[in-house]
Amino acid sequence: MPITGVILEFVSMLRFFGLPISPDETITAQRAYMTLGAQEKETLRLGLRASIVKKREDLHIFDTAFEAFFNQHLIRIPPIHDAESYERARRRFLERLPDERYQELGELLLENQIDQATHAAGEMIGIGIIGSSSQVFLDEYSNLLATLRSAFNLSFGVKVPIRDLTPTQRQSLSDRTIEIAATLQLFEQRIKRNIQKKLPDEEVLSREEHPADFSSIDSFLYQDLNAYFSVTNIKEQLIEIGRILASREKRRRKRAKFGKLDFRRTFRKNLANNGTPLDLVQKRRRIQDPEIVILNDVSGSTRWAADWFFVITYAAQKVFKKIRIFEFDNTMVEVTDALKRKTIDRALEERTECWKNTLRKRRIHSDYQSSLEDFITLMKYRPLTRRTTVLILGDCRDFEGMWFRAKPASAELIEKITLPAKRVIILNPEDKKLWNTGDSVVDHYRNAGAEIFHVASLNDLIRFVFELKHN
Amino acid sequence: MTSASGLDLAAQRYISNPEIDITLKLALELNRPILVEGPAGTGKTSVAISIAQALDWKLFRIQCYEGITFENVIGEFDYKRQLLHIEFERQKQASAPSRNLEDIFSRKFFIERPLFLSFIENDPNVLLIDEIDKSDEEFEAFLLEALGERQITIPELGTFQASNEKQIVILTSNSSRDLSEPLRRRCLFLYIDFPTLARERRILAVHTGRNFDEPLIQSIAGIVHQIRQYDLRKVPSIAETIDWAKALILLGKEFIDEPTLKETITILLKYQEDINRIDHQLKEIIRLGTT
Repeated sequence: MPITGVILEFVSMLRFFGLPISPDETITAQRAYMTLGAQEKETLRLGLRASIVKKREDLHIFDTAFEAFFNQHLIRIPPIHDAESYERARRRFLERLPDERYQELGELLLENQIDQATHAAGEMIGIGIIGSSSQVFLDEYSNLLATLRSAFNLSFGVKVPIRDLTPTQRQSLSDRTIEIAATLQLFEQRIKRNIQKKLPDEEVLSREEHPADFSSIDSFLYQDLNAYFSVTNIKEQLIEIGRILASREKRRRKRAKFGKLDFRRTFRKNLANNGTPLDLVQKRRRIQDPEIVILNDVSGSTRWAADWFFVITYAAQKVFKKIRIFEFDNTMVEVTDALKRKTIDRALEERTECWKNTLRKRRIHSDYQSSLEDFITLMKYRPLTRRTTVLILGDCRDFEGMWFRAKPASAELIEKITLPAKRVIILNPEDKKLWNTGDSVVDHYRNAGAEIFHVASLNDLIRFVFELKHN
Repeated sequence: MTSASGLDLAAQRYISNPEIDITLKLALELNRPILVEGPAGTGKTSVAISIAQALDWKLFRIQCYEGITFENVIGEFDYKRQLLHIEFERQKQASAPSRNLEDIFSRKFFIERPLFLSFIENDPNVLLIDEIDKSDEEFEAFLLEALGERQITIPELGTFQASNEKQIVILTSNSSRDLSEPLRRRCLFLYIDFPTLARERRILAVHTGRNFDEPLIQSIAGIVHQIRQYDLRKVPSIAETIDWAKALILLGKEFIDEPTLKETITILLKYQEDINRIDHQLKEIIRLGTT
């Protein structure tokens, strides 16, 4: 069955918007198009949606693209041949733009003033605003161009880029329409170049081609974490890593439940069969869920690792049934409830909410002494047991803690925690060369009974947590 | 009343919407499986059961769970029967040594399970693979052949092509795990969200025997919609809304006030923390839900 141009064009538009559509899905969409026809727009929308979209997250992208594309195909736009029809199209174009700023930009484009339009768009996108993340620029840039392009398509009845038009399509357009389309195309190129020049980190621009590298978190250490953290695809990748690890862990546990053949039980069970081993009985092992208490240092120096760790914990929480997660700087707060939220964004919001109810006023700087005192208070009603592993993610830099008899007071508290617990493990992401320098008290904590490990990468961090299940 | 799909699902007490009808029509026309996703309790499983009833086709159901295997859905060789057969043949051979052992890896010794049965069934049927997200990735990969080529390969017995022309395969998922791209690619996609207010009223009317524009039915649907706006651990499903409606009718209530909602809220919400979350806002929920 030949695939009609309409479906091919629509599929290529969806691919442009980032939907991964395979040839097989294109054929299915074509068959759906032939089955349902194009008479009823809503029926066609639902039919194509069922054939093309495979994830809920993509539904709104599809709907937006469908509206933009099929309005043009189903609604006949009168050809622009005279001044009157041009004026009508011009009005339609400006009316479709969302606000005054966009309309001013639209006017400039209609008047072929590319330089001024580029400048105006640069101001709209926010180039020059110090502190905005690169992703914000990119999102704004895509929105602006998509809005302009969609308004132009729907008003003038032509698709840009014009190089994609067939000679017949080109002939049917007036010179003025082609001129504006070319202006818009040139404007797109100009503004894209402008943005690339001004962006501080070009790697961010090509992130889609080069997915985030998790082999080393050190590279993120001195970056603006919020800029990276706001990037949805990194969050999604972290969630995915967590899910994969969780499902692997589940399988491992399932296999581990069944041991070797239990000869005694097998013989006894098969006595009724004259000893012929019809029913085999395997030894079953009882695997107890470990209790894990995580303490995340969210003070300036380790905030970056704490954030990654929170996302990973969220994704893998199904495996850790008995997990409690706390965060600290100079005070301790429990954020376990945040893990129960349905989406990671909600969880991150809830986590921020949890910080509103701290036991003492926050001073942002690390104070292991006051934080651990708060931790002991918070654990009063559910004390640590011999099955509890306490995992502290921090750099052991007790910036504001007190010292007694040449020993930090926090070391005594670590000892107090170590006694009832199975293990106290400190994961220190700081370079080993810096341990025990300045306010770093690594050795004191080690002497207090904590096991201290260096985690050089995010993968180390994740692996460590999962290995806890086997120890 | 028949819908776009040509099926009268309402007669089976299933109130569909245009999205369900069109996807169903395409599944029938294009012979493609449907992957139904959506929150728990929105009618994903019921749609498959209702389709089977509306078409008067046989329904085969596979309930997925963690650890489900090929043997659980296709079938397995009856180990005990094979052993007994060998023993029996050995004794027989002692008296008549020339007799050959029958092939113990034949259909005779094979316990057939739902997927296999639905494929060899000559009549049209509906195959429901429920909660596919609960199964392991290996099982999902195994399904690719069955869904894509409509065939099953059992190494000892060979390849079986689906013998019926008409079969609707419906997979449901609560998205507790992301399904693989190849599986998604082979299916039509249908997302069933919580119903709109109007659809929920119609659902309640069908299940309680009341009229959908009665004040009580309107209030129930409105209040449940308001409750679903909160960030709850478990939002009330359609089944729970129906239960609540039936309970209120049984209690002889004709309108819902704060004490009534407080007394019966446990039918809708199943976690104490959820109840605590909305406890102080019941008045507001009733006000918004009934206006």
